[in-house]
This record gives sequence, structure tokens and C-alpha cells, in this order.
Amino acid sequence: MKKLLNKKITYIFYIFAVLILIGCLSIYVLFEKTSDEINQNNLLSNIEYIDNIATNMSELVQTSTNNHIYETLKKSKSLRINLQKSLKLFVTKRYRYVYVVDKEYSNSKDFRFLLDGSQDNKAEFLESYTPLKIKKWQEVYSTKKALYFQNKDVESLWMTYLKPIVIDDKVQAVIAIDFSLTDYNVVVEVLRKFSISFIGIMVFSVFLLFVIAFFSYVDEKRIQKLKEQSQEINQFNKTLQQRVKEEVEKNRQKDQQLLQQSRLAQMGEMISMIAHQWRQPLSAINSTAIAINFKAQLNQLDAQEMIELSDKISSFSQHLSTTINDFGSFFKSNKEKDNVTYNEIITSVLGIIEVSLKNNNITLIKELNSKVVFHTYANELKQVILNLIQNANDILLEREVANATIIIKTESNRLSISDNGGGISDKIIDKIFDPYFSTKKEKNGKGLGLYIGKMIIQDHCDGELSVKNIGDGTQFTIQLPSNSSSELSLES
Amino acid sequence: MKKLIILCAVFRVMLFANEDYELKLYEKILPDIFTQIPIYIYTTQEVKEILQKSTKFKVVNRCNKRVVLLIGEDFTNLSAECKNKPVFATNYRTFRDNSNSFGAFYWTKGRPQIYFKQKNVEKFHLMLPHYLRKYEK
Repeated sequence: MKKLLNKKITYIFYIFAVLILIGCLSIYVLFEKTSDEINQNNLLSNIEYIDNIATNMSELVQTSTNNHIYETLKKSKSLRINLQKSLKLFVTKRYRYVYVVDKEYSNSKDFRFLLDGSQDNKAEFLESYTPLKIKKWQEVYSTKKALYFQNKDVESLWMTYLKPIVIDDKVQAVIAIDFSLTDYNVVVEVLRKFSISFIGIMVFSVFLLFVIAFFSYVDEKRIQKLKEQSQEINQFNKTLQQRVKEEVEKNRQKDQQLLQQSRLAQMGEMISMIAHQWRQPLSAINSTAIAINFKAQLNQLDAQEMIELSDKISSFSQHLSTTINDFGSFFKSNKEKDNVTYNEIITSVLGIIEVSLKNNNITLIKELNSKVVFHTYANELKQVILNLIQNANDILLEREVANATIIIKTESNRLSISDNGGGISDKIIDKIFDPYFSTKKEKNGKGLGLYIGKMIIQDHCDGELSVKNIGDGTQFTIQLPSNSSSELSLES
Repeated sequence: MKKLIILCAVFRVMLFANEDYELKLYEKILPDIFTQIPIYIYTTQEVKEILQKSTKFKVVNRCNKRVVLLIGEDFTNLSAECKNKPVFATNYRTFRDNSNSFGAFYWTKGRPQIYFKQKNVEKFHLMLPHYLRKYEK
């Protein structure tokens, strides 16, 4: 639609430009015609005026000489002087030379002066005279009609008007008036300049037309190119969207794999923990069984004591079962959120790891002040907290810290786990949440625990997991969002 | 051809009414008439300055026997040896009245006028070139 509109505008422009050109040409032709008419009228007006003067002169000469011009003038010098004074009256800056000539014989080529109205350099009576364009002068004699012609050759641009004095159908003399064309030329020059201006405007219009046509062509090409580029970008965007989808799916699968790897790694550690948990009850069961066996051999086992010992074994077995259930529920992938407090989570986690910490001579301090109930993924939160405590345990053991201590604090929606294991180097503290970054490579560290922890807290639980060095150790802080919580007392 | 050249020369004179073209006219016609170079000329008129520019002419300050031509309009105080030299007039009156004038060149009403007197041309045994004969009176 837009392209069609652009094409229409271009065509309209071209038509408009051509119309302007035709208009200019028409005006130019009209102007030239009018200009010629003005020039012609101006010239004819001048000639008409001069003809009137010449007619008056002719009548004056004829009257004064009784139609015998040469003979009368030859006889009377005073008449010549008087007539020349009369002719002199017509001499102005514009009518430069006014004089009367004749030919001695009608077929003679030479002219001679009869009267001269000039002020200076006055020609003498009967002085020979050879005019320029002599054929024109001869023509006056042959046609007996007045004529005028232009003298471009003589001194300046002026014209000569020749008026025959015809008596008895014979040309007796010719009145010659040389007049200036200055006024006429001013008009001609102005019109000529107008004409040149018109031509200039037309040439400029044509040039402008070409320039605009050129730029229009360039612009059209540019738009075409932009369109092609736009199509390429659209195509690329479509491909890009597909690629983004594919990459997101790949990342999701990768995250799933990482999560699975992390769980497997934790399970390995769990087995070690289970072993710790089971050691005491198994030992107790074994001791009770030995006691039953020993007393039975001595026949000292009565029914009451048998019941008590079997109850003990049952109790210990129950404990083992509970432990298994705890571990089982820990790894159960629960897709639904639960209402849970930090204290419940920590109690559950410590049920798994506390024995291990005691065995490693690590002091555990609990300052549990939060009563907030969170609606969140409890099992995933337990995994994170377990991982943080396990990391603290590992670093304390690795660095063989005396008075190794882990402090777990809860306050409102914040939970912090800190240790006195010497802290994390500033060089790597920004990288510890990166996937596959581990300082425990020698101990089969996968470098996924903290990465998964961060992902669970931020992406699943909409919370924050941060780390900082404090005093002689490190503090990890979990902050769950308040909108996932409600202030509830434990009692309620 | 010569006629064409002289007409062109005259035309140039007419066109510009310029002294340079007057000089060219003199340089063209006088050597053809007198058949010698340089031509010793005596003149007292303003034409002297024009003629002095040419190498074909020797313009003398005092008329002597080497002078072959007088150019100008006023020759009333000529020495005896110059009184019968041919005169080339620069106005109509001199051309008409001077008994030794054989030719003239001057301007009338802005038009160039060139004339020769056949009688005096013959008197001074001058050879008028063909292209100038139409200007003879």
C-alpha cells in the first residue's frame, strides 16, 4: 500500500514537473512573441514620428523652392542658409544628422549635398557624398518610397531614414535623417535580458528536474535496499526466536541434569550420614541381641526381661526406620509447595547431619528466632540448607580449625549459616555460584552445590542467596520473599 | 582580391572609426600608388601622429626635396621645392580647391569618404591601382 502511494506521488511529481516545463516553454514563446511585437511597435512608432518630421521638411523645402529644388538653392545662398537653419532645428542628440542630398543625374552613382542641418563639420553645397549601403539610397530613387535601415557599422548603433522628395513623379532630392536607437535599444536590451532570464530559469528547471529525478531514483533504491534488509532482519529474527527456544530448552535440560547430578552427589554424602545415624542404634540392637543370647544361655532370661529387651530392639529398629523415612522424604521430588517454618526445615536437616557434625567435633549453635511460615518448596529448601551446612563442615575439616563452630540463625525471613573456617578468598568469592566452580576438586567436588542452591532459592523460591566474609569465617544468607510468608506463631 | 582587401580595410575603418584603421588604410593605398617604401611625407595636421606609427612612411618636419607626398588640409606656407608636390587631402575643401590634390580621405556624417582626381593623378604621373579607380572623379 505504502509502495503504491510512493509510486503515485513520484508519478504526480513527474507530471507536475513536466507541466511546469511546458508552462515555462509556453510563457517563453509567448514572451518572445510579445517581445518581438513590443520591439516592432517601438520601432514603428519611432519611424512614424521621423516620417512626420521628414514630411514636414519635404513640404518646407518644396514650398521654399517652388518645386525647383536644385536650381533655386543654387541661385539663392540665403535660402540655403535659412533652410539649413530650419533643418538645424530638428537636430538633437537623438536626431544626429539631418540633410538633403540629390544626384546630378538620375543614373549617377554619386550623391551631393544640397542642405545640411549639422552644427559642426557642415557639408558644403554640392559636396560629394558616398553613403554606406548605397543600394538602399538607390532604391529610394527607383521606388520613390521612403525607407529605413540600420547602420551597425557607423560610429554607433543608429538608423538612417530616407525620404524622397518627389515632384512630377520624379525624385528631386532625398531627405536623410540619421537617428539614434538608444531608447529603442534600451527596451530591446531589457527584453533580451528577460529572455535570457527565461532561458536560464528553464535550463535551471530542467536541471532541477533531473536532479530531483536522480535523487528520487537514489531514494527509491535506498528504500528498496532497506526493505530487503528489513526482510533479512525479519527472517533472521524468526530464526533467532527458534534458536532462543532451542537454547532455552537445552538450558532447561541442562539444569535438570545438573540438579540430578547434584542430588546424586548429595545422595553419596547421605549414605555416609545414614551410616553415622545407624551406627548407634545398630550397635544398641546388637548389644541387646547379645544380652538376650547371653541370658538365654544362662537360663536367666525371664519373660518380663525378654519383653523389655525386645521392646528395646523394636525401639531401635523404629529409630532406624524413622531415619530411612527422613532420608527418603528428603529426596522425594515434591512439586507442590508446603507451609513450613525455618525451624522445621532446620530440625529436619539437622536430623540428618547433626550426628555427623558431632562426630567431627564441630560445635553447632542455633539461634532460631523466626516464626514466619513460608509457602515454598520445603524439600528443595532443605537441600540447600543441608548443602550449606555440609560445605561449612567440609571447610572446617579441611582447614582443621580448632573450636570449629557452625552458627545457624533465623530472624524473620532471613536465615544465615556461618562458620569460622577462615572465609573465602576475595579472588573467588564472586565465582562460587558459577556452575562447575569448586575448591574441592581433589575431593570429588562437582562445583554444582552452590550453583543449584542459588538457582533453587532465586528461581524456584523467588528469594535471594548471598555470601559474605565475616570475622574469621563465611556467612551465607537466605532471604525468602515476604509475600510467600505469613506471620504465624508456632503455637497456632 | 585587392578590392576586397581595401573594402575590408574601409569597413574596419568605418566600423571602429579608429586611428589604427586609418593608418592601415594609408599603409595599403599609398605604397600602391607611389610604389616605393618608405614614402617621405610632409604633414602639419593631426594625421602626422598616425602616420609616424608606420614603418612604411617617413614623416618629415620640414618639407624638402625627398618628400614625395603632402597629406593634410592647410599647405599655404610651403617652401618652393614643395609647392608642386602631390597632395592627399583630409577634407573636402582641400580636395576640391588645392590644385595639387590628387586624392582625399575624410569622414562625412560618420561615413568614410575616399576620392581621387583623375586629372591630378595623371598630372603627377601616378599609377592608381585598379581597385581605387572607382573612386576617381
